[in-house]
Amino acid sequence: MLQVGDNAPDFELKSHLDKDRKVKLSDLRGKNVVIAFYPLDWTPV
Amino acid sequence: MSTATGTATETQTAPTIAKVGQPAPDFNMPSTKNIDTLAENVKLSDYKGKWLILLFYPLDFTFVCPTELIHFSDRLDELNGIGAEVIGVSTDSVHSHRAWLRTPVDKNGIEGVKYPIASDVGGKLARQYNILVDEANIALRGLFIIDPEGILQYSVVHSLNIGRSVDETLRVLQGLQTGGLCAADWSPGQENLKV
Repeated sequence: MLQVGDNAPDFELKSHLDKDRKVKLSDLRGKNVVIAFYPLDWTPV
Repeated sequence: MSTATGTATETQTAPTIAKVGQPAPDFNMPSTKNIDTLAENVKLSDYKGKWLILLFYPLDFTFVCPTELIHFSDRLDELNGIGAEVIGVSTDSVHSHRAWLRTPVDKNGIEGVKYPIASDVGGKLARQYNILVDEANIALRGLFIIDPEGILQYSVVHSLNIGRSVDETLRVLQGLQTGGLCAADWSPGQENLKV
């Protein structure tokens, strides 16, 4: 199970910013990356 | 005698790995509650009806830890005032905890810390919270808030170098206590979101 101090697992996911290019963690090497999960679109919080 | 009715209220049991929204893992650990005898344990069931903050830290007699433990102690009245209790937890023995609690702050001790420090020797509870660093057998800086029903409501884990924030803990705790929806950067006194 993933733990603070481990290497973050790489991912490649579609996003709304650029539909032709997926967002890939390993493309962001050298930067700090904030990943903010949230439950559902179209909800209040 | 139990009968399988299928309609009886099922008691939720804690999952092996702690998860927000699920019952918190049970514990019964030696502690410094009675600093002279070291004979009084802390148990999860002791805190039913209260908010509980579990404050894990890596090791007694090290450097970031005393600032965190002392800050939480300095503001314990504020935390108690909103119905919350604090337990510090590391994988050190209670004897080490006691020695540290009897060491003055200017000698890198935590003398005067007002809440109990519990001993998770072997790291069983730290492992259930997924914060045990196996090779070193020490816990990461995990902070967990358990509600009065025993449900885990908040979990934050820092790497070993970064101390935690009492202000943020108070903010989250007060947000949880509203029982409602709190927008980004909600602060105490603000209204909940209306659906």
